[in-house]
Amino acid sequence: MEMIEVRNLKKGYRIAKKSTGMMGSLKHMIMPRYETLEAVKGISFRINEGESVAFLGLNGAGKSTTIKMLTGIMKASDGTVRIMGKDPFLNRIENARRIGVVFGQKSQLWWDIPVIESFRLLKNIYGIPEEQYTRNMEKFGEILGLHEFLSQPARKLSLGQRVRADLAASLLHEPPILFLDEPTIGVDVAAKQKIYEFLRETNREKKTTILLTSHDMKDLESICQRLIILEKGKILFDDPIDQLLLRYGGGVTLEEIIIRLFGHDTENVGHVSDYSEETVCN
Amino acid sequence: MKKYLAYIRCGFLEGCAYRSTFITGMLANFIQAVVLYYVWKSIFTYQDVVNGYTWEIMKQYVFVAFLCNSVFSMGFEMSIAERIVKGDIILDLLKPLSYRGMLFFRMLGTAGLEFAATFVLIGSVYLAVNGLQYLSGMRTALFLISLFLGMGVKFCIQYLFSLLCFYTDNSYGVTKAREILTNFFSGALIPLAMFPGVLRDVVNVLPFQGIIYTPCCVFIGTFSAGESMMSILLQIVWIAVLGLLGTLFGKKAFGVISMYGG
Amino acid sequence: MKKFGAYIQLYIMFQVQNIKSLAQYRTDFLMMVFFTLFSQGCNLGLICIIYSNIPQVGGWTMWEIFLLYGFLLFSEGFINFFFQGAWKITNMIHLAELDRFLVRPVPVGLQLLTAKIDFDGLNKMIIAIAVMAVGFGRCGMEWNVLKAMVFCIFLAEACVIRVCMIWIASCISFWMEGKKNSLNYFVISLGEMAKYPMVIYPPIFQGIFGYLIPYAFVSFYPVGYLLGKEGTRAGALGISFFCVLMLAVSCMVLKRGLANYESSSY
Repeated sequence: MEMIEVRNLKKGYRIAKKSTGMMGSLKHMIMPRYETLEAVKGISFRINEGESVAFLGLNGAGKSTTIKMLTGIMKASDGTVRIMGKDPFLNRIENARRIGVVFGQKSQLWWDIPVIESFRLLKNIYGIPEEQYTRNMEKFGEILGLHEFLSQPARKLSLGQRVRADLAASLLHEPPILFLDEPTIGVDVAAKQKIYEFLRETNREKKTTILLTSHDMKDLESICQRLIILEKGKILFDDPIDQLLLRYGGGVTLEEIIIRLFGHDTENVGHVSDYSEETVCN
Repeated sequence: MKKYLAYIRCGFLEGCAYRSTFITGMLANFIQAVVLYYVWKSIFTYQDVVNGYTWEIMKQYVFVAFLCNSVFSMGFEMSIAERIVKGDIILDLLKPLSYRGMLFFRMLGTAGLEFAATFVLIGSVYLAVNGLQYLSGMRTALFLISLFLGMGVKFCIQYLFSLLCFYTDNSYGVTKAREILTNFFSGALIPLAMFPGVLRDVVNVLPFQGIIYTPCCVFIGTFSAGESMMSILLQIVWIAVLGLLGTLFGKKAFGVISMYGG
Repeated sequence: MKKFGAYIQLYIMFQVQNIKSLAQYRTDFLMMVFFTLFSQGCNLGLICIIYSNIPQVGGWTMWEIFLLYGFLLFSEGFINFFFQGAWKITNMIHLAELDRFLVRPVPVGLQLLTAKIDFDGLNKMIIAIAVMAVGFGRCGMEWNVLKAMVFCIFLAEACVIRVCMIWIASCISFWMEGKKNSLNYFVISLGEMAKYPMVIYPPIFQGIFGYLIPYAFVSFYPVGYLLGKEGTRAGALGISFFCVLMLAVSCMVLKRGLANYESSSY
């Protein structure tokens, strides 16, 4: 079954065109001029049930923008998006029931209340039956090791704990589709392992369709079978990961291929670790 | 002195950066001034004199009070509280200059900007309503001195209130309380002469009148030359007293910092 | 209808969570109560002082002015306590925090309105009721069932109109591309005007506050009608109309705004 269908999807941001300096600011105040920045320039793809797909691209390639349109957060400028046959922006509430979303940079838990309270709240919001709730809590708790921090408020969690809690929260209502936007950014190796294991199992057991963006090659390799590479708002590559490896011949890691692919501008890919540390500090 | 000048510049730039806060604050004050203008206007259609004030005087009072209130309108309690919570206050105290001096000159910079902005706005409204007829060189000069001293009084009061932030995390409440207290007792809203009996006596022994009521009366001429001089002297006395209090209280309050441990 | 019940249930749930998260902080609750009492006392004191010199303003006595004040204060407290989230919209748009609301199967409006709670509102409502009780007592109002009902409806509509005002002003952030939006503060400041009868203002202001930013329908018309003041009858009929209109505009602004939401933090 087709879970996600995207046809000729476009998104443009309107940005102010300002010249620098005082005069520029003044001029803008009187006669503002805008130009459209095309973040996504007409992409198309289909994802079937049970697939796990990775979005890869440099910063500003349009990955997050695409995810935000697929989840119904943003309206597309042009083209169509269908999540299980429906437009996610127009049928936002209906769509929200069918998807789970994890943003690595932002928590969806309530900041000041204990994590377990957040889960109970979500149970009510999604109308999850008691039996399903207890079953999932037990299972998630075990694999993700939630028990150690369930009674802490979200603001006191470490980044790794927070992402694990967020992941559990997004799957509590057993959505058929799961979106992950840079879920492991700044997360330590041990926590990452737990997360990978959990995602693989969900994908296998529940046939949950997974769509993930990440800068971390390990994420991609260990979870996803299919890879979509975006560059400057366009699809550069869309194939199973094996094929990519095959094309470049044996003995080359995915990371090396990516570096070769982007060639000129690999800074963002190479400095993932720096970025992560920064996030941890916050 | 040069380093303090740097803080004036810094305050000026800060004022520019937070202009939306400043403009909102000023607009709020302005709306209040407009409301009071029409309230008095309506009152004076029924009677010619209210407690010694005629409509002619009141028209001036409303706008001059607004001008005095707008200069120095931005409080610094919130920003200090934020720095205390974050522990940044240590950085301020490590600098080789007086903490209070730094605050004062930063405010002076901001006040300069506010004064310029308000002056253009209110000056033109004042002239449109009242014309040139009441202006006098001597009184204007005294007014400027008194306004400056009024800023000094306001600064001392704000400093004392900001020290309270060392003891409570409710900085919003502290700011609001100070704002209301000064607005009410300084004559920002109505001339203190209108206050009934006991309240009038209370107001007289409080420092707040120096902020707005004194410069206003000096400008409008409800104070004679002698009274004006006396009031200005009183402002200076209050600055000295409040300044001393600030020093004493400051010593105690900074002692609390060690508890936060930076 | 079933849906509506579910929403009310969710509303209560969210607010209970808000109260729980408040308990996480050691806020000086008593201090807040004191500050509110103090500031409202000063505001009322100001009115008393003006009236200690004169008998009336624009044909209204002090106790009648108290009623205007009561309507305004009550609606303000009502927002603070029940829908304080309306204040947070600007910030949430500014920091792109709306995302998490948008991926939940609950109307965004409901989640926004319940984003925060402020206990100070309860305090304000109590003060407002006391002020109105004194005011009505001194005005010699003769109550009957019909009047009491009209009073309750007017008060409720005043609250709705004011929530909508802040709502609309805050939602302008959707179109401001990250610039700071202070319109909501401006709208609140304008409330100062509604503390006195509209008749004292020149026609242009009356037009602005009668129709553009309908503060006249929050205090002047409802109170004027209850007191039987001249020229407020037609306005009182308009209250319900404006209430519905404001609600409709609020819904539209949110809907349009979300279509324009760019989810980028500044």
